[in-house]
Amino acid sequence: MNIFDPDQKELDAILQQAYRAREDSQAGGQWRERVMARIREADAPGRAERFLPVFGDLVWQLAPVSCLLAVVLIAILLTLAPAQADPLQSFVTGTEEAALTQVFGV
Amino acid sequence: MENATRQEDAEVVRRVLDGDVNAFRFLVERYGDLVVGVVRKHVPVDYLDDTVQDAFFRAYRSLPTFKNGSFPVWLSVISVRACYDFWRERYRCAELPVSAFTERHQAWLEEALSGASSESYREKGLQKEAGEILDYALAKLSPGDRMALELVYLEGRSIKEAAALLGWTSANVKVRLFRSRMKLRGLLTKQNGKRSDR
Repeated sequence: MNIFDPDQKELDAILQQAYRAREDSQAGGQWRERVMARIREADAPGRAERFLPVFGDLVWQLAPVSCLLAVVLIAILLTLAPAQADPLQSFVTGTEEAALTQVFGV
Repeated sequence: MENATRQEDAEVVRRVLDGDVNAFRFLVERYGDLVVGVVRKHVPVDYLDDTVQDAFFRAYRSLPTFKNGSFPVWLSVISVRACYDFWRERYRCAELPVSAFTERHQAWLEEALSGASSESYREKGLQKEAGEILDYALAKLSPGDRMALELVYLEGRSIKEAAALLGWTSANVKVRLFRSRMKLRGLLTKQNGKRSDR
């Protein structure tokens, strides 16, 4: 496969050669020791991960329940809304007034 | 022979999972060159050690997911993804190495686009410029596009192979290849056009 048009396939070959030249780069000698040191410090493999799948399953099992709960709560809120409207409004305006008083001294 | 190697690898993996952490050293020694070989093609030499180390550490953490297949193939996938994550991290933090496109590179590109042969580049010792231009152009691609282009166009792997290494669908690889190819062409021909305009 070529990057450029067939009439410029030499450019492809040159870039591929340049890419292959990266194979000459060498890693330092210390990485093996560092890998082993890091592994010895780490938890046993799978120990940290084990929690997440279990927790993940639980989240998905609880998702429908939490959705249902949210719908029920919204329904209750809407039913009670007319009765609660005034205290809610007074809370909003009350906080606005308090903020204005604090900032502007009104 | 291959079967014996597989069994030996599986045995070492079992020992590591049973708590013999030092047994992992056997896998590090056996497959160190393989991982270095994969990583050095994708990551700048300054970051080679760290990325190789990261690939082995990921392999260690993922050992419970290894299912008696070929350990080197499994490790290659982890190494390629470590390289992809290396570029994603750099891209997110905007820490991409900035390669400048100089007059020297423009002259090189003009000659290359006029159809000079790859042998003449070798003879003139212009391989360094080719590498620098490649780095410049690849740095302009997104990490995903970059990895797809490197694996398929520059390494000569099949789309299916690249998809398996990166954990993507073949269609995704094809889309990224098309995009990266267009961008690379645009970048290099644009740079050449700038010089021609002068």
